[in-house]
Amino acid sequence: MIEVNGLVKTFGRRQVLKNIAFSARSGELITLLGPNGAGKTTLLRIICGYMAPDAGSVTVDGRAYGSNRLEILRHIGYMPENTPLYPEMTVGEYLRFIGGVFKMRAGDFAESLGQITEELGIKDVLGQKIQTLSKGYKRRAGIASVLIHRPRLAVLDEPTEGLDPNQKIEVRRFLRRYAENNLVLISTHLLEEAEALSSRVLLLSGGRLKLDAPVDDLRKHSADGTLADAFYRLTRETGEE
Amino acid sequence: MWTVLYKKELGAFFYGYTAYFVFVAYLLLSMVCACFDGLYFVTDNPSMRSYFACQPAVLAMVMPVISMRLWAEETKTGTEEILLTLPIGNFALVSAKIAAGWTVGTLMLLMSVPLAASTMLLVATDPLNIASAYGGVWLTVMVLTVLGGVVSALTALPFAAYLISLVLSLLLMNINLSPLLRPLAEKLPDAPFGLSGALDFPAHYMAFMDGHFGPADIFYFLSLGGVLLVLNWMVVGNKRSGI
Repeated sequence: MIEVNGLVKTFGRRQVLKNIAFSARSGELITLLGPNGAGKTTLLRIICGYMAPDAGSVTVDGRAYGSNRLEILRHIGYMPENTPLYPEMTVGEYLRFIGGVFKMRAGDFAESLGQITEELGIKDVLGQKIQTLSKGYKRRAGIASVLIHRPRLAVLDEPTEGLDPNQKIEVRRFLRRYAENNLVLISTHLLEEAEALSSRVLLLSGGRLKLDAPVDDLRKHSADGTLADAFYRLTRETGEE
Repeated sequence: MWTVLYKKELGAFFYGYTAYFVFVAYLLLSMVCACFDGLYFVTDNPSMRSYFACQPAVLAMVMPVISMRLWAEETKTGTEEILLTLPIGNFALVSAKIAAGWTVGTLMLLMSVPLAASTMLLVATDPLNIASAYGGVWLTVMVLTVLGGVVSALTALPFAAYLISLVLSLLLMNINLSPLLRPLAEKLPDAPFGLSGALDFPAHYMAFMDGHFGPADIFYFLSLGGVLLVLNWMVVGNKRSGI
């Protein structure tokens, strides 16, 4: 489904991504882990076509960006960090806007809207302006906007940030179900998130891919069997940038 | 898809206070300018001439309020990241935003129609002349929307976009490039439309105001708007350079 080959990205003199390569397929829920400044957001932005790498390539279903950009973007749902949404729109208007951009048929949209708003618990706020929503509702509205058109690749930057424990459990359950038939790629610095959610972990540190393994393998790098220790050992070599 | 985007952009002006603020500011500035600077009443012979004469200056102040939010607001709030990762072509993105801005500008102009109507009731005024002048103002609104759109796409802060657009609009309206082009015009006396006045905004605007505009005047506004639209498209394409 997705192939990332030799990605390099530099901002000024600082190389943020150093030869990143991995592949992933539908049915996987992958967590991108790493300390702050590890390059997680940059990697997600490149995968979603928001930013161009200095070297390397990303292919989705065998198609590279360039002349295939719009075709690729039709199969991607992307929620950036901090969930930037149009504050003046209501949740319903915003979801309809996304549905319209993806040219969803009225029937498909209504079905998807009913299901997704029910599962994410945002049915009651469909008529509410986004600027009046709490952080948790806003985050869930953002997740709904990413998945409303049922993309084959869903990319979410810190999807459970700001949610209360119950909401986190519901969102994680929802994402796991969604990943049964699609590829979900999330970024987080929360170890519990990676353990609770993913089938596989990509650990970035200092712009390098330090680990690409099932989440259980992460513990093998730990002295005391905890994820925190494994994370510390794997990331301290390069440290935060 | 274009319509979806256009509606979203147009709605954004009315969800908040931008459009209403612009309508009120435009009418106030226009009336102050026409009545005090243009001597609309003092001459004891009200005509729309004083109104249209000050329109370029008024539009230079008001139009950047509309255009500044086209891209800079998206950059500031972070929604640009969502917008540019949606499957929408660059030209559709740019043209929908510009069309929405131009629509708000057109509605703003329509707010002044009662003034034109009452002036025509007071004095014998040629309605075609007024329609021609409105045509010039409408085309100026278009050019300033696209100019502001380019600036907005290059700027991350809406207020900075406003100031830069204001300065560029005033420059566009007041700089007469004829002296620079005169040597070239003398070498090419048969050049179409006369090169020396080709880039002179006041001359083209006055032609509409006086009611005897020609193809060169229409071409001036359309080509200027077209060039700026392509520039805007290039800036957005560059932002969205892809992989």
